[in-house]
Amino acid sequence: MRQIARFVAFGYFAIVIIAAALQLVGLAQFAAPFNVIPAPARPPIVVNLVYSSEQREWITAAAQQFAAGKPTLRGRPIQITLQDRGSKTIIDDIMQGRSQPTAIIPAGSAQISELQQSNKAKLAGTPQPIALSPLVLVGWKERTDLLFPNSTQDIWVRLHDALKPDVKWVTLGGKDEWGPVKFAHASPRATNSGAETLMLLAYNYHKKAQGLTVGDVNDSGFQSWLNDIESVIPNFPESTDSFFSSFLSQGPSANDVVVAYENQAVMGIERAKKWGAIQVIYPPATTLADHPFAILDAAWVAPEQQEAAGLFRDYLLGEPAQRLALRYGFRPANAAVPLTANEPNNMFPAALNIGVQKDLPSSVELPPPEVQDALVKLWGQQTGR
Amino acid sequence: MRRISLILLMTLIGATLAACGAPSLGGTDNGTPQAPSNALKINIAYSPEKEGWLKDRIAAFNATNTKINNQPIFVEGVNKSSGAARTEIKNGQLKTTIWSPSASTWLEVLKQESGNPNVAVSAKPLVLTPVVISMWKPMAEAMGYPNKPIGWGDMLALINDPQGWGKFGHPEWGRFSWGHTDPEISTSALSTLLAEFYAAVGKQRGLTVADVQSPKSQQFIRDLGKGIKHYGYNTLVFSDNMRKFGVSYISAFPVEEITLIDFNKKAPQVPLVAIYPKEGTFWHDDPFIVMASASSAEQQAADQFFNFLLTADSQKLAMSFGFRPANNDVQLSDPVSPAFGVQPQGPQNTLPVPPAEVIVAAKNTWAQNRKRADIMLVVDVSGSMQDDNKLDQVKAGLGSFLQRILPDDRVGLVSFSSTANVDVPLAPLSQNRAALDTAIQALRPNGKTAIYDGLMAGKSELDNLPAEKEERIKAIVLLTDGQENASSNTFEQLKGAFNETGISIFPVAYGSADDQKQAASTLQPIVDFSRTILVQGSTGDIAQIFDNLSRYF
Repeated sequence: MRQIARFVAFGYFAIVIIAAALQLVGLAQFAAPFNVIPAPARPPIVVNLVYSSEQREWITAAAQQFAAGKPTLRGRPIQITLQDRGSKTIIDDIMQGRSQPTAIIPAGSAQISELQQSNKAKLAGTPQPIALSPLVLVGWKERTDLLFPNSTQDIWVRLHDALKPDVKWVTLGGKDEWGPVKFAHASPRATNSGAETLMLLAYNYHKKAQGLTVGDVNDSGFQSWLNDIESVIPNFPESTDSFFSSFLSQGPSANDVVVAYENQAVMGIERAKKWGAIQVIYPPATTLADHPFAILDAAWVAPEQQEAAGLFRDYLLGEPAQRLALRYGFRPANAAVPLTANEPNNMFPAALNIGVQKDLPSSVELPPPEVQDALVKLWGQQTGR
Repeated sequence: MRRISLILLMTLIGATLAACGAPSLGGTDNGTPQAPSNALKINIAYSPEKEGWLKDRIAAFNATNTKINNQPIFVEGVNKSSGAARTEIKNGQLKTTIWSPSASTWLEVLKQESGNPNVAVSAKPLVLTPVVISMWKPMAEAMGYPNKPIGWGDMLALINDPQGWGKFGHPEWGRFSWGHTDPEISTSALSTLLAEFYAAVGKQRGLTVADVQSPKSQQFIRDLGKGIKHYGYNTLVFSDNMRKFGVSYISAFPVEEITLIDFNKKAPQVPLVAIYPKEGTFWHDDPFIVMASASSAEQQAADQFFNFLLTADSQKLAMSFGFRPANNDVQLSDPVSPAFGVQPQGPQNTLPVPPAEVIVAAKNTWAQNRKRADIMLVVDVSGSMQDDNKLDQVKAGLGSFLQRILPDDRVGLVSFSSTANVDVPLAPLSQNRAALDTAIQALRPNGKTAIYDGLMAGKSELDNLPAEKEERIKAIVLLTDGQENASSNTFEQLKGAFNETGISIFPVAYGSADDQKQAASTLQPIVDFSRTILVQGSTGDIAQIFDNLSRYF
């Protein structure tokens, strides 16, 4: 019996030695039985954040930095889950019950107003802009030099005229094989950039920068003028990010000039080089995407999730994350971080060479929701979408 | 007792090893990856050209053990051609989290056909490849490549020129000929067809139904069709034959750039080069489409998988297969380079995908104006065809084949056993369909196998046809289950008779594996001089064989 007990004891000893050896040679990657069992981990507080697609690189990088600091709230780890969508899709999905985020960062305040009008979710506190980016035109320099040779004041008119059926690049001094002038923007129904493009076109047609009315939208002259432009755009992607990514990956064969956010153009400088140089052109008055961080007050959001989301928002507004924004082509919302801050990989010094302005361009007034709706409705009628 | 303790000890060690996750020393693992029991499973249906890339990436992603809400994501893939996937999704037969057809065109078609514009929640390009005209490098150079832009108009002028390649100082290359796949099935063919219609009316956007139905367009398609050697089921048929038969097979055929790169990667004697048609072409963007039927967690998992596929490593692997990266941080490099026959600058102008009704009109106009065919069906009715109901299956297959042939294509029937007999002379199908049905049903197995005599009888029928105003595809579909053993004609006589006639013979070796092997020994030399393909199949394949064959005409 003693012998047996000794043998069993030896056996256990052997198991421990073998397991230790396995640990050492790395075979036991999942050696759960021999790990020191920690105190039961407290469940994380999950913040489901849905943001507009053009912020993807910055938000992803900032969330990684935030996670690296192992943030907690009253001892519970904070876990940020990210999903990018078109700005208007973010709101539509909440209203249709397809999405239940803790917080959202659409491109602009227009979507926040839209959400506030619904009864699906309220806001917990005031949304805070976290980064700025004006809406601009981006094109292939070789071609935009021909299209916009002098002033930038009449860019929409020049663009409108260049899209006429009888105009091709060869008539503007370009090459025959470039074909017709190809202009595009993202979907006004799904994206902020698309909706605001229509707004800029309407303001430009009516030669004003504020006070756009439903009557202006219903003006037959404007409708015909808008149709000249929209009817030659073959498709309207539902995410500004993937739209601009395709602009870069398909090169000048697919699009000559597009509407995008300034940050996308800044980040596109290097990526475009396989095809050539890009150029940024500012409309005479434009809109500013200020990316409001809005925490939701909804049945599906717990108070601790709101609090955790607030911590992440504060992190985004802090100096390290704002400096990080410069690397991704965003203008900081925190005035303590200047555009030309001495930050490694700050993209703005190089961006000044492709037409990016140091100062923010002037903006048009955001018209009331009914005017925005009328524009999108008109666009839908004209394009059958 | 000692033995019991030893067993206990070994059991404990075994259990410990298992708990440690050490590799199994035996057991039933066959290498098939298994989803963890608590996995969040998502699936992706992708088009065939992405098979090599995505099989690798799916396995690699599953190995990362990426989690959503503490559930490991497990991706399962299925290879499904774009058109077929669209039909199955529409009919509810295919339920998938992610769909990746060759081009976004298919998503638009699905939205239109299903009447559901919200069928997908997102669609982003995974990789890119433009549609190009692939042409033998010496021929392209003769036309001015790479300095002179070349397009559909140049091809048409060459097709119409009686001098053929003599126009460019190479009469030895004969007339310009090309291959064209079926736009009902092939995304490349559909894009090619739309590009042809744009070129026909001189437009580069705003193609309308009226444009594609105009007499000018129809004439353009018919004129281009004059140069077509034959149609095909997929681009693989053409690239295989170009590799096998070289420049004498066809001069060019339209494909995705990746197919051309794949051809050149296999070090052919003469390489192909990509011509980006000067009138414009299409990008195929291989979209990653997350379907609206996916749950929120599945959508998040799909996003994670998408991010993985867009990483530099994944995109570089895709580029090694010949795709262009969708991740703009990945710079173009081999094989997307002149060394593999492509220009990194790619097309100068791309054409917008027209609305769904224009696409449908384009397919219909093409069907009415594609090159017409004269087809002799030459069918083995030797004694062995009664085994395993082979002849009955063939009769059913021939019936399906005739259903897909156009009414003004001319079709005839020769049957052969110890001798050959013209059962139904060549005539437009609209006139002799009943006679063909009757003759097919009357076929009875008996006697030996005079393949060569059967082919000569078929050729005589084709030779005796009155000349037509427009050129037609001339072809013989030969079906047999055995070896030649009874003909009065020799192989050399047969080969000499068909030389330079322009008649293509498409042989089918049919039956059991032994039957196919025997038949192939006679048929392969015929394929070699006729520069076609040998189709092999058993009785169970006959419907597919005839469906595929019908796509050649």
